[in-house]
Amino acid sequence: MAKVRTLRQPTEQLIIHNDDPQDEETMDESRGPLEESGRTMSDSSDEEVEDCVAEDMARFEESFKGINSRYRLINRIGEGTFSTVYKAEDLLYHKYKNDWDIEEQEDSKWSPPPKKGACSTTKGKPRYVAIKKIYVTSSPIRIFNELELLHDLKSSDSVCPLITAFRHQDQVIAVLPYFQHRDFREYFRDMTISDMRLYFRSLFIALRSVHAHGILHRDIKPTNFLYNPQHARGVLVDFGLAEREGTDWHLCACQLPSSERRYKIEHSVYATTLASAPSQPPSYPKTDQRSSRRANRAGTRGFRAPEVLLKCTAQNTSIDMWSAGVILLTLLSRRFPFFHSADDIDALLEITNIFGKKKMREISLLHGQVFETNIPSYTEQGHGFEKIILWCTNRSGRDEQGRKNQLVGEEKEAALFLERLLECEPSRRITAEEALRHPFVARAGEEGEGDEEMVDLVSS
Amino acid sequence: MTTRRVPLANVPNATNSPFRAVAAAATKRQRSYASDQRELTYGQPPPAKKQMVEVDDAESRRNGLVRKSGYIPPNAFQRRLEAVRDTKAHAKSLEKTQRATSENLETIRQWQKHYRKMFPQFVFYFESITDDVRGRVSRQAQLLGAREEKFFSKAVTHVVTTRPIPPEIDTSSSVGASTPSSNVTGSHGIHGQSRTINPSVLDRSAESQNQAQQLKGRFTFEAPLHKSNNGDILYKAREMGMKIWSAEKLQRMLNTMFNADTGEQPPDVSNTRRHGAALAQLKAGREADLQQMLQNEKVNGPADRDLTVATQEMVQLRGYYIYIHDMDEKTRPVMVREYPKTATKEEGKWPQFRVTGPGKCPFLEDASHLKRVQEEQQKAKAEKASTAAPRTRAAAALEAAKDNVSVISEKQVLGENNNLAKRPTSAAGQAGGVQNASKPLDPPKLIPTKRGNPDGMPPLFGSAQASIRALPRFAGGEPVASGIQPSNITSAIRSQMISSTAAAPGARAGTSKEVHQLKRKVLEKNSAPSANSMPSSYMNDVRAAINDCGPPQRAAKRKAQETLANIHEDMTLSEEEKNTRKIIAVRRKKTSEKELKPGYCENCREKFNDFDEHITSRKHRKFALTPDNWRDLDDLLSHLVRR
Repeated sequence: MAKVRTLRQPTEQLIIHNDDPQDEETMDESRGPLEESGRTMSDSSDEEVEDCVAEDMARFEESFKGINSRYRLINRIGEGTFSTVYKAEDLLYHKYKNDWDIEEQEDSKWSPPPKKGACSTTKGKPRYVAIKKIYVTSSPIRIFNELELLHDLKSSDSVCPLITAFRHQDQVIAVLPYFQHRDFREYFRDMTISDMRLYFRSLFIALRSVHAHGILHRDIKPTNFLYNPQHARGVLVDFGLAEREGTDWHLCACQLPSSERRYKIEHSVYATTLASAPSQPPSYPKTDQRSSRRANRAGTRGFRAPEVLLKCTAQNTSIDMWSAGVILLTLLSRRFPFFHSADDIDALLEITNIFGKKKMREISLLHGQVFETNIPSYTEQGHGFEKIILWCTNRSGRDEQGRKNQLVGEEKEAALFLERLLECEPSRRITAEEALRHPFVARAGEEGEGDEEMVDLVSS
Repeated sequence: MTTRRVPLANVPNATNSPFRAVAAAATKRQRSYASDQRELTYGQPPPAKKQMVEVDDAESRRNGLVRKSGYIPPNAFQRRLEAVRDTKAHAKSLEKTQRATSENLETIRQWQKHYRKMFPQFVFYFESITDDVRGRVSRQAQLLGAREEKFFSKAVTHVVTTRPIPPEIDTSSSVGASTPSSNVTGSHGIHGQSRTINPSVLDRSAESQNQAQQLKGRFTFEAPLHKSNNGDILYKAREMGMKIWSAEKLQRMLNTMFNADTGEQPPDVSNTRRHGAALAQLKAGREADLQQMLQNEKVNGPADRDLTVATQEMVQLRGYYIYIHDMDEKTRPVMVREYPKTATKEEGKWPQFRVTGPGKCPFLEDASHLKRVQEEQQKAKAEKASTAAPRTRAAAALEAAKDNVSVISEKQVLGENNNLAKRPTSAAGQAGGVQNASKPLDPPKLIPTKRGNPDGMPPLFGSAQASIRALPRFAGGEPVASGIQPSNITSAIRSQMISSTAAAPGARAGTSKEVHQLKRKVLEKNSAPSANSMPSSYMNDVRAAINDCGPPQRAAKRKAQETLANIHEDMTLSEEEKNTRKIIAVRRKKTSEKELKPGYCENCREKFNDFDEHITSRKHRKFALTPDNWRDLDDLLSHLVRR
């Protein structure tokens, strides 16, 4: 037993963030805040290994029969809710076909040797992979789901391919390419609009293929999009929360034709009773016997689309586009994380703060819900992204001539694009396909100075 | 078992009754019209028609009722259950006869149509109905075009009551002929009917009517029984030929009218249920009826409860709230949370834009940034302070007065809100307000902090940013100096922040905003526990994340941080921002080996306190070693073998 015990020691630190531990009937698998759920691989810390990490890796190697012959663990590079990720040297790299190795192909692009030469390249160079150790407390179904989706997406551009996966007893590990990338927090405040175009082009390429497969990623956030500014390319990782579109789908009011929805709203219990008594503050049953509305709300706080927060039962891939919008808002406002969202209620209120009560009432009704608040901080119409971006970047004052500062040029364009992403109504939100055609993204890489900036950024 | 029906001669308003009122003749036509219509389309079977709304003991005493003597009528729930059984049986038999079904649907639509036409002519008078029920029902009725009379008068066509309904005097009425309950009332009506309306009744509003009734009831209790109906509005109504409906009936009708379910479906299940035989219209698969009925009861309380007793189960939102609920009330509210009211919105704990350092989350209070800005402001504004003070004084007084108002109103709101216990835990906040109200220009008092700082962090004082923001409560954006206040100032001085410019401690001229901020700070702390006192099952939802109850490290951060305001145009952070603009170092996570790692195991479906311990547990090991659990996954893994 003692041996087993050591075998089972998975990590030094298991971070399980659960936003709603009490809400057990929901299928909510929230993740921790960005700044803590470091699914972040950082090159800088590669070679200096903390004692406890070393110990952890030793235990892992010991516990997982045969892993030593294939991989040499180098460092722990990330921890998520359901897994720990290690950087490892791929000892048997050259024994296999490595068509997953984009970086290798990328390198070969710059050098004379032919593209196919992944196997033929220098043998001495160490090859790295990322080993994702999925916690043994994850159910086989969850693991199956993740691996299956990854398998489906194996040839998708900008999606992290699955090299292989195997199991030892309850321990499952997935082997993924190790991507050189930088910590989002290091560069997000320095990204120019041109950089953002490239970033989002890469992200939407990934999302386009994910969505084309009918898959919702559900956890789009900077830490799950490993971006390498130097190559202006990122890969989407962590499909632990992903699901196929239509999973647990139930009709939601948002799916109805608008006329039918309007009819339902007009004839709802609310419309016929409470709405006619606006002076009375609402009340709710103290002990409510009704069942809870169920919907998948998995995701990371601060990145959940309003329909997720409102427990829409017919969520689709557009929730990922919202999350991408949150990233853009983060970049434009230079605030990370932008939303704090301690829980879903806070999250919705933060959105309310931006969009105003009117919009929130509308979108709540869209999902068959009545939104009522008397919190004084929220305006009826909301603020508008331009104002928020200016405020967040400390430009909300007036210029020397006393004119209100305004976003200019491409920043304005970015703000307009942001509006399309952070569209509260899912059906009107831009799709990944459309986003790639949107001028903001379509013009990525056009400007020469974009690359310069990127170089600066990288060298800084 | 008494019957409701009394001998014709005894019925005060019967055609051959000696008591028959003249007024009754005038309204006779209308009433018979209404009742005819009702029988035609509404067609209640006798028991339902006589459905009696329970009255409390006092009420029955007042009416001289001997309740529960002999026959106890089945309560509404039982009846409904029976009705549902009936209709289900019917539904089965009707399943194949589509036509019959649609005919029944048609009947209901006709009914709805008819009453939609009728309602505008109705004038309701509500009697012995609690205000909240009355308000709701009345509004619904008004939506249909009906009118509510606050005072009983001839204009009234329908009296709606929760009390037992006195016997019909209309001989043409064939329904309700012999039903149980409501026994004694009939015999009351024999004598003592006055021809005119008791002025005392006329004078009273609907609200006071209840009390009036109770008072009267007490008197009449001693009076001879047969006199007891003197001036009873129900008898008066009967006499005047008005319809008397039970509140429950009206509610039911309204429910049917506003069929919430869907437009196409036959309306109101409760209605159809009740008239099972006549209107057994149920489509196949309408078993949901019972469920829906139960759901309705979950929301509205048991349908057969005493409507005169306020529904205790409802929690009213009195503070600042967010309430998101199903428009059809079929599911629990998706979100409900209440925040205590605060004097200024910046003090509120709800998410709002705060003044934060560059790069930081704009919703999360940023203590370090505030500190920095504050210090900077302090230096910059120190010399300006003395000149600023005289000018701000007048405005200060104004602001202080304003602030008093808001504090007082806050206090009132909180004061009446007993069940929520939302008031700030320290009396200091309110005491401050009260004090302040009496002497708005008093200097802020230094009071030792009542609550220790739980995080051991030094209290922080307001950001100078507050003064830059052109909130109306600030004296015209007047620059006011910053200064560090002694840490033991509490909320006693809150809302004095402007007045303190006049006479700040230590002759510091422009302290208003610090004090103001301090106030915020204190309030914020005070308000924190209130979130936990929310008396609801949602508290669990709420507790985890709200306010100070978040993850410890965050809570600590928050507590120490200052609440700040909404977006404002005039923010200037520039130097600060540039100075602090540096790459955030990658945080190296410190791990302590001994730390427990609590979590949830999906495989064992249990929570554990320590990961390492759990995964070696027998249960977990058993799962791990059972190949069956892994079969599907292994199938997939076989496809994933590296090639």
